[in-house]
Amino acid sequence: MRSRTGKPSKVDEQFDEAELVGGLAAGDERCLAALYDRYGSAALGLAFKICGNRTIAEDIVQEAFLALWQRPDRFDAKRGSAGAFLMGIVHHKAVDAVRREESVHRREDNFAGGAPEFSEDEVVDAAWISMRRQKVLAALRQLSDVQREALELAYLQGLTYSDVAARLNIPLGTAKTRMRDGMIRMRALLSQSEGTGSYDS
Amino acid sequence: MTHDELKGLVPVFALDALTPADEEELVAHLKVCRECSRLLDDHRETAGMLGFAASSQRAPADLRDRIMSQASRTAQMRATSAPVQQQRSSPPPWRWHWAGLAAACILALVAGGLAFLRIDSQTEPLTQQQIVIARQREVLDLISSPDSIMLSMVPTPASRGAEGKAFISDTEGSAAVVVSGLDPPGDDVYTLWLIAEYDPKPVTDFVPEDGLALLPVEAPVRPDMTLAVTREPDPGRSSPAGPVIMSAYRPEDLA
Ligand SMILES: [Zn+2]
Repeated sequence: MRSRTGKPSKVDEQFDEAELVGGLAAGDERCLAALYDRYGSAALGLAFKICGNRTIAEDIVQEAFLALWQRPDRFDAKRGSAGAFLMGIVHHKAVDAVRREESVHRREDNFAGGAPEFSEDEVVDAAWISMRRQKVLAALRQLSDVQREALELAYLQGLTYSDVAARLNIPLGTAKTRMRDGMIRMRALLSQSEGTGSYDS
Repeated sequence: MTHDELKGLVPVFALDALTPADEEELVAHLKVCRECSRLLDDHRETAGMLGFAASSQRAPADLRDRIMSQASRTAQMRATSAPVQQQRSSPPPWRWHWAGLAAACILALVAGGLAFLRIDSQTEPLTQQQIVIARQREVLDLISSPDSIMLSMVPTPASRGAEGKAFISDTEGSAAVVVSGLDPPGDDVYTLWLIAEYDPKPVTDFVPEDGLALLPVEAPVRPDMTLAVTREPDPGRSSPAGPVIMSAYRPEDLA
């Protein structure tokens, strides 16, 4: 996977993603800095969305980047993109933090009114990050409402499928199925739009 | 859980949304199933992409500074290495506890004549059994040797309280697994597997005696390999079908 936008950011012009991760493995700190410049704001956005606390979110992002720095071999470019890999670490750590810390402020009103929780930007990103976001949001819009709702509850609130079932008052199997079908659909939609320039519906 | 059920959990796992019990069972399965591991790679990529849908927060410069300064300290730690590995090797009393269990296995084998390698011994002459005993005495040496690496076998819910340790000798190019507290398998057997790159190879089928088994592994257990015990409906299988009872992964940095 590589950046595929027409307007690469400054970092993109300097480094290919595989080079960045290769540089990490070689212990090149500039590559870590470049990855932070590229993904830091998106990573912080995700951590904050899940845990709702800026200090904790920053700690999570710090841990995630350091985890990648310490064990760059855990990332395998053949199996996915560095950005998604990093967001995966952030997600895992944020969900851990939320489940550990009852005191962490969590916004219960997130899902009122059925408005999509994955939402548009407040911060100006590098063009290609915002393009990636648009692509994911476009794919999410193509899910059924119940699939999207299940993914949002699980992914952004850090709920297990059994929590999701309880929250929506649906059977466990139904919660699992909605999440699984939603993921399968997302996977197909995202790989479909791979490499294409524009996909606004 | 059936294979289809486990496979159905993979996308949910990628969302970090499994219950702890399901997660434990799936993680054990992933170690032996290449199909599900590949599926997980795909779903992890998708789940990671979902992260980009959350609104960004401006990444502050001081956070960048903190990460960079900690990274340079971490890099130095990595360069001089050692203390991390030291922590992982186990205190001697544990080793002797397991050596004691292994010795008990050998005594049972000698005294009972017929022991935990029952499947082999039913079809093989007594001399074979004596060879087995001799081999297992070597294993006892391996276990008590301070040069060998000891790894805990991580139990799954299916272990029902069983425990195990793997002892790996790089100088001998061999290993041993000692398991205790296993339920009698009834009509099933237990199988020990050595797994490299999601490719499980059977080491031995076994039936524990009083819950105990001592299992020699006559092959090098290299970094990034996994030893796993499963419960199988029949002996002699070339790939695992039953649930994983316990497994030990040898990390890459535990050289
Ligand atoms: Zn599988």
